[in-house]
Amino acid sequence: MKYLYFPGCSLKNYAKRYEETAVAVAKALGIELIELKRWNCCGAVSGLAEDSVFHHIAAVRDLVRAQEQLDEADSNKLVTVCSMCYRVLASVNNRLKHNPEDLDTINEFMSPEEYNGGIEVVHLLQIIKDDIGFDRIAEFTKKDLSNIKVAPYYGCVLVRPKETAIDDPNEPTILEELIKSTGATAVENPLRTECCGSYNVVTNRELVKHRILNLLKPIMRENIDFLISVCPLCTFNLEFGIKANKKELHGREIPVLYFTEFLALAFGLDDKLEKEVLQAVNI
Amino acid sequence: MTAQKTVKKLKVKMVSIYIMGKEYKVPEGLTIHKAMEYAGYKLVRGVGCRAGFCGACATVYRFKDDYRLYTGLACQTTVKDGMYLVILPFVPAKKPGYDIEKLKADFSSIVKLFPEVTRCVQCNTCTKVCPQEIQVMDAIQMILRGDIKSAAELSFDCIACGICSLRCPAEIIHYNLFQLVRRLNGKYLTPKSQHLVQRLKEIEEGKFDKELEKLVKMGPEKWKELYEQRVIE
Amino acid sequence: MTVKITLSLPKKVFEISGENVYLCYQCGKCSAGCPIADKMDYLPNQVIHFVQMNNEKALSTKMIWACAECFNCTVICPRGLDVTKVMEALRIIVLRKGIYKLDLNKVEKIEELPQIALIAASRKLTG
Repeated sequence: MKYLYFPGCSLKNYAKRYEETAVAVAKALGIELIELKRWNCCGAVSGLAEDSVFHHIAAVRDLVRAQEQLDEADSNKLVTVCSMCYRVLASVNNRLKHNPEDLDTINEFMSPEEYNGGIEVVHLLQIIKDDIGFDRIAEFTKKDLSNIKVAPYYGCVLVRPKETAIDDPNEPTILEELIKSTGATAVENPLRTECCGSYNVVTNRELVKHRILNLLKPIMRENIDFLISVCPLCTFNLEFGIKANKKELHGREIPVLYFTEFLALAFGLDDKLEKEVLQAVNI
Repeated sequence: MTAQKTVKKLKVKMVSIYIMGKEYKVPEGLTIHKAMEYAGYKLVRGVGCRAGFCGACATVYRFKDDYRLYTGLACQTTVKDGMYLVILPFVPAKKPGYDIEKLKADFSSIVKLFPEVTRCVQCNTCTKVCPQEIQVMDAIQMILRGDIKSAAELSFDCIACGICSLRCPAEIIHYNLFQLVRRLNGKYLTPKSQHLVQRLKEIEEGKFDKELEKLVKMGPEKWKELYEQRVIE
Repeated sequence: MTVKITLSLPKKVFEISGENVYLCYQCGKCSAGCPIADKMDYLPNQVIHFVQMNNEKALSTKMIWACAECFNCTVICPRGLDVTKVMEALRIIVLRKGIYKLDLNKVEKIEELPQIALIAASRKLTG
């Protein structure tokens, strides 16, 4: 299957390891991700004002780019890997679908470019779940992960708000199912959908440090090998918070892996993983 | 008398333009600069090379009953009937100092000097107003994702007229930012010119000393003669 | 049903967000679910209460600027009030006056921060 793919700024920078493994894992599963030829930042957060479409323009431009390349793919789905990109693109797409007058305003502003509303925004996790099936993940798993214990961490944006959630906002299971399908153990992480502090890292690093410590406390009792994240900002904050809370965490440096890194590990795609990651997880 | 006759013979069509709100009748086909001179203006600021390269004569204009704001260079754009215009001789903009040796060709070096780049909302206004027809927004976006090389190449034709930076709702200083990006590209991402290294070595070794000495001795008259006889490639 | 809100602040919030703050009956679930409430000056339900009382103090609370839109309060609210949207409306009221709550020139160690955080903060804290 060929899908159009929107990478986003983070995946081209400090989260390169996320993109590298996402593309490799998708390929191993028979999915070809076609990167949009021209794209811009999605905006990272969506504008919530009802009386303005200003902050939606960025996302609509990307939807237009996808529309332009639609004939190269097998479906109208635009695949995102970064969860913040997912929510922004999906929520803007949603809003325009339900408010055609907003779409008119934006199209008028962007003229002669025009979005027709025909793109569906999805996250790579959904593609793996719905188009491949978690039951088939075991077939691709080359490593014995039965001794591995990991804690899933969803963060906010994939599960909230309800309109764009890819799973149940209160009790999501998609990551747990994914982890189990490789043979590894998913430990119960009660705070897996709580906020990491997000962009407060710009203005108030103490708050993020405090947040991460709170998030990790309940799972510190478990002897976990690593955390699994889906978001570049969560990962940044988790890694920052784990370092900043070294004393409080008694020197434990829990590695944080993107879910695609975890799958690459399971599939034996070690050459796609960064040395530091391989050393840290030590499987 | 003769001059007047010629004008009559050519039957030059006159158009109305409004310079900062005041109406002038000027001959069709003149550039905005020439039309202003025709109207009696003495150009002091807002004028430079008069060849479309220096970026000193950014101009914005509108037409009656047309909401669109058009832009151009006063030395390159010809007047049209009903044009309301103003030249923008200067755009206030911060210009941070930096030591290129201490920077890296990545996003982190740039964001320290131009943090406002993260405020881009992709309205694309910058691209729409660029008289050089650069895809300004795309270049800004490339910078955001750390693709310095592509941004430098895309912004290469920027002449720093500054209209983009005046129109930007995110208050980005595109042209100073682009200059930094091109410098980073030149310093860190483009292969070093081997010819230059070789030539510098030759100069240091004194390969051209004799010839230079000969030239210095010739004096101004001979120089002029040589200049006139030069072969233009 | 048409909503008729007369007080200026709740009306402004409604115009921007489409949310009627009078839905709130002050149960406090939003505050219980707020991940940063323990470090804030006022709790989300208190901010909502300020708006209900037409008290402009809502606009100067730390809470509205530290809210990172995790939507926990929105999902949790038994009255269906989109609390996150109300927080955004309050920020917008301030930002639309041309007041910035983030000075990008003064961010410490900005070069260490990822784009995703800077872009998000720029969008939420500057106009």
